Amino acid sequence: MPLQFDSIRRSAHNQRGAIIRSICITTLLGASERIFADSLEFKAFSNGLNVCISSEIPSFIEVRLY
Amino acid sequence: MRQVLMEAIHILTSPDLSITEDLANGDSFVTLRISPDFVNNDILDNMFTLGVLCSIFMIKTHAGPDPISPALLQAAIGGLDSIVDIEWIRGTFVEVWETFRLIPVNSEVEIPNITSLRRLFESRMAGSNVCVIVFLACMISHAITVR
Repeated sequence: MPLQFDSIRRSAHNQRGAIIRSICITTLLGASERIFADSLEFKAFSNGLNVCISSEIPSFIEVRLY
Repeated sequence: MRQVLMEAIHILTSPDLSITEDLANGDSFVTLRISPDFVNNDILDNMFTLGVLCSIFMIKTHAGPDPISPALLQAAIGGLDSIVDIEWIRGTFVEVWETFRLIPVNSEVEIPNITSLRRLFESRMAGSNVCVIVFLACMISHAITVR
């Protein structure tokens, strides 16, 4: 779909930051910012990661937050 | 303990479970597979467990839980904003950086028409909101110019 890339190339100057941010997130995480941040999958993973970091002794039963 | 944790992480990231995917960025890191449909609790349990295991692994070994993407870990700990850091990307994702660095940060400079950039944009941003917004902005700009 060359139209999309060509459209981005011709984009207005004030959109460059949004373009770079979007391409960073979709390339590194595999989905757009909104889809990834709002997904139940990311929330479940984040809960698991962060509850363990914030607690020295995680309980696999009690810390199920989602 | 390191081997046990690593084995558990490898089981959860195996293709059989399909909760992670390799984004083919040339670094063999994996990230979460986001489903557009309903996600059952078994999948969420596995993702939660993967998060816990990654955390324990990092705390106990002071190393990254390979093959989990550093971007996923950073996003989960510091938020999505924290991965949009050019210096961090340059140091962490060498292959991706080789393409990213072709995009001029200076908005006065046009994005060059290079095959690797074209491939990146078309594979990653097809149909994204930014593409739609940029396309509409171009159409409006063109209409104003013609008028």
